[in-house]
Amino acid sequence: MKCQEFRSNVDGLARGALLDARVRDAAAAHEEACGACAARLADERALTAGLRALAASMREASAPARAEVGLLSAFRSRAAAAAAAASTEGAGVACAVSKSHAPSNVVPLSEHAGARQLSWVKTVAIAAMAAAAAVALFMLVPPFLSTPAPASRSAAKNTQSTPVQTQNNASATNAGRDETARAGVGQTASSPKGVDSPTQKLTDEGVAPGASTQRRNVVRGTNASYNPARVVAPNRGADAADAGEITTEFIPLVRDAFFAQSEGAHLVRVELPRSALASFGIPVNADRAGDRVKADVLLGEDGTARAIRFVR
Amino acid sequence: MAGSKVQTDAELLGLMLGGDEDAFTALYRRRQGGVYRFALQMSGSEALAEDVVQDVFMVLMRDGGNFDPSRGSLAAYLYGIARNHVLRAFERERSFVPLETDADDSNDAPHENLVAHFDPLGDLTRGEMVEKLRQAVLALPAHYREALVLCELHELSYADAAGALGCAVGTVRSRLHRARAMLTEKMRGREREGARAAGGESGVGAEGGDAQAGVLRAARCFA
Repeated sequence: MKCQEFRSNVDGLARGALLDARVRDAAAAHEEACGACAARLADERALTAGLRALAASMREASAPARAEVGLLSAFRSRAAAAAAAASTEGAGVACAVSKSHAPSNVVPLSEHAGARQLSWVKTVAIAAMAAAAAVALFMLVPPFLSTPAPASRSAAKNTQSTPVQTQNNASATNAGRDETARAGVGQTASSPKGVDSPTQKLTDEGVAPGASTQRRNVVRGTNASYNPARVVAPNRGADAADAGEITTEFIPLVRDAFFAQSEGAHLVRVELPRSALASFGIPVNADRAGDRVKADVLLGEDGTARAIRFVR
Repeated sequence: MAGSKVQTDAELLGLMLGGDEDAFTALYRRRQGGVYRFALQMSGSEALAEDVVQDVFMVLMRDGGNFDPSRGSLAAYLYGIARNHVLRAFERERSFVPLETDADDSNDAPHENLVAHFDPLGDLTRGEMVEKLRQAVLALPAHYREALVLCELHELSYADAAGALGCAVGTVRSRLHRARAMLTEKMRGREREGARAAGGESGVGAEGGDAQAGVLRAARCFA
C-alpha cells in the first residue's frame, strides 16, 4: 500500500469502519513502515475518540418538557379540527357554497377569496367593466360631489351583506375584495398592515356604519399579507357581522406558515374550552374557564390547521 | 396505541397520522433527543435547537404522510427536516454563520454566540478537550459540519446521512473526509498555540509544540 491509498482509507481505519481484512492488513503494514502515515492515523484515531467523547457528553441532551407540552397541544388542536372537519354536524358557518364538497361547517376559503377561481378572461372582463363604470361615473357625476356614487355605494353594501352574491356580481368592489383577500392569504408583508389600496378604500366607504366595529378582520389592502403575528381574515368578517359575532384576528398555529395562492383552504367552526384562550395569550376569567368558546380554525388544503380565531 | 410491543417508527407514524396521541408521544420521545442534539451540535444554541424540535414535529404532523420508507429511515427524514430548519435559521440570523476557516487559523474562532465559554486554563482535562473539540466542530462550514455531526456524532450510515442531506453517498463521504481533516488541523493549531503559550511562559522555544506532539497529547487525552 502506498501513502496515497493509505490516506484515502485513513478515515475508515480510524473509525474502525473498514471491513476488508486485506486492506486493513496492508494498511497496518504501511503504518509500521511509514512514520508520517502512522502519525496521520494516530491523529485520526484521536479525533475519532474525541468525537465519541463529545457525542457521549451530549447523550442526555434533549428538548425541554415545554416543547412536548406545546406539541401535544398542537396535536390535539389538529385532531379536534380534523374531527370537526370530518363531521357534517355541528354549528355550521353560514355559507351557501360548495356544500356538495364540504361539511356544513366548512367554508372553502376560495369562496371567500372572491373571484379567485374565475378564469383570467372573466377577470379581464370584470376589470374592463369596472374601468368603464368608473369612467362613466367620472363623466356623469358633477365635480363638486366628492362622495361616491350611489351605485357604487350600494354595490359595496351588497358586498358586505351577501358575499356569495357579490362574487357573481362583476363589480369593482368585488375585484378589490379578490385582490385584497388574495394578498392577505398568499403573500408576505414587508409591513404588518400594508398599504390601503384605492379599491379597499372604496369598499370601506361602502360599509354600513353599524357594521364597522364588526369588520376588524377585513384585509387591510393589496399589500397586506400573511404575517405570523397578524393573519388577516379571509372575508369572514362579513359573515360574522351578519351573525352579530365579533371575532379576534387569526392567530397562526404554524410558524412560518404561508398560504399559496392556489391553495384551497377551509374555515371550520369548532368549540373549545375557554381555557384554551390562555394558550394564545388571551386573558381568561378563571371562573369561566370551563365554559365553551367558539372558534374558527383555518385549515389548509392538506387538512393542517394553519390559524385560529375566536368568536364571540 | 394498541399493544405493548415495541413499534417501529413507521408504525407509530401511521398511528399518529390517524390521530393517535399516544403514538405521537411515543414517537416524539423516541426521536426528539436526536433532533435536538443535531440542531444543538449544528448551531450551539439551545433556543434554536428547541425551536427546531418543535418545527420538525409540526412538519411531521402536517406532512408526515409524505414520508416514504423506501427512501430512508424516519430518523433520517427527521434529520433532513431539522437540517433544513437549521440552515434556514442560519440564513435568518447571520450571527450563527461561522467564519470561513480555510484561510488562516487566526480567523477560525466560531462566533461568540456559537460557543460555550472558553476555558483559558488550557487542555488540562478531558472535559476541556471535549469542549475545544465542540468549538472546533461549530466552527466548521455548515455543509461539512452537518456531515460530520450526522455520521460521527449520530452514527448515521452514509446512506441515511445522504438521505437527510439530500446528496449522494459519495458527497457525504468526501465532506466527512474534509471535515475530519479540517478538524484535525484546528486541533493541531490549538495544540501549537497552547505549546507556544506554555513555552513563552517557561522560556522554552515556542516551536516546540509540533503536530506530532499535539496528536499524541490529544490521543492520550481521549484514549
